[in-house]
Amino acid sequence: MRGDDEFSEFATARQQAMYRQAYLLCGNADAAQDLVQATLLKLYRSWPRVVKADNLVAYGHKTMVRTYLDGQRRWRRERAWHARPDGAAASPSSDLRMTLLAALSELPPRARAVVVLRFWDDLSIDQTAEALGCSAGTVKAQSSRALAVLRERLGADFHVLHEN
Amino acid sequence: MSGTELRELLDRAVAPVDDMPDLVPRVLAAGRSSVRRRRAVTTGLGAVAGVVATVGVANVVWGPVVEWPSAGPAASPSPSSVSSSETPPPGADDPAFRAFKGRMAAALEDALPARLGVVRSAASAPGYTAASAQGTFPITFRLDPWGMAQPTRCPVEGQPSDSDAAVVSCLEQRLPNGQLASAFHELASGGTVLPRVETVIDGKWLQLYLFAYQESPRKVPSITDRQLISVLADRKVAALVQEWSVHPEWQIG
Repeated sequence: MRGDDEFSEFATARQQAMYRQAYLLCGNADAAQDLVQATLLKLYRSWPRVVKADNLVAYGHKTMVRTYLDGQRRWRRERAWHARPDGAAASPSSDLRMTLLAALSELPPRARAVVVLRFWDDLSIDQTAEALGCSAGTVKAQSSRALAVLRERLGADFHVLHEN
Repeated sequence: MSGTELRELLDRAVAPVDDMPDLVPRVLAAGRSSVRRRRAVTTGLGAVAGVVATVGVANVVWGPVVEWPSAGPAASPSPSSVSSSETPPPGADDPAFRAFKGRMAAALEDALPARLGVVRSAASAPGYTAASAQGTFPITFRLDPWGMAQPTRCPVEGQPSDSDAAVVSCLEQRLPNGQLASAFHELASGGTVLPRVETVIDGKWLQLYLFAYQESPRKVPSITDRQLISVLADRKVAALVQEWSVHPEWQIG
């Protein structure tokens, strides 16, 4: 089936990058894998429509963040993450990943999505707004607040982390 | 911290993350199966579209079953925890209704906390769900036709309460459709605390009981008011409830 072949090609090429994006959104590997699977499944089901999109990668971003924001699975995983002793007890300067993920986990889901899309995926403000279904002003405000929260949470450890 | 610095940190945070297994074969298999199911459901719905009755809607109960992941074989239903309705809805044998129940079970499973386990429609019970005493509980929807402008409000100190029972906790929140929803944990007979959430849909009073309606199950799983509201706020559940509410043949009169 041609559609299946096209989908397979896209999914195979994108899945690991999606996984890392999902990892930043969810904060742990299991939840990230679930999110990628749910996203790919959505894309597969709508593939005839998806494939007409101007930018498949951007469409994938949008589908993933909306899946992340929509789902109660996301909420559950976040709670599970908050409850993880290693996540809660991570020393700010001991492990970069734990520290940053713990700081990210303190952001509301939409603000975290803004951080990942803007600063990791390098989407523009307009592209981020389109992906999240909100205004550019909202993205700017959330981005600014999120940076302030991360700056506060990481504090002096940020510079240690950054220099290391 | 600048955006560039944050970008560097994010890059470094995910750099040591190992690749995940190839998900594509799994997604393809699940996707093909899902598309086949969706086509079957669409065909079924089309077949019954012409027989939707326009009778008035009355009291409605409908219930999939929540099964605990760790539960053993289901025990015999306890008389104290069996839903009271005996009459199957007129549409119980309708393939479209069965398909609908399957979709609702899947949506509820997604919307409910994971620890509550697998949600299944009560296919063997044409009407309503029997709940075992050990780990299997009914989920009950109830729809009253009587016009309601808003759900039961949370009690306010010093003012008469809308609720007949002692309210242990209550939370009000607007759903994405703008309607107010209120979630309660109320003290029932035997000291059991029963969770429920309610809202108004097209002027009808919708209540979702977890995990019993007017009964005292021996065990009620833990769920917060916020989680209860999030079930009604879930897009899939909300769409299915809307679909169900306009099918009187799927409801008990």
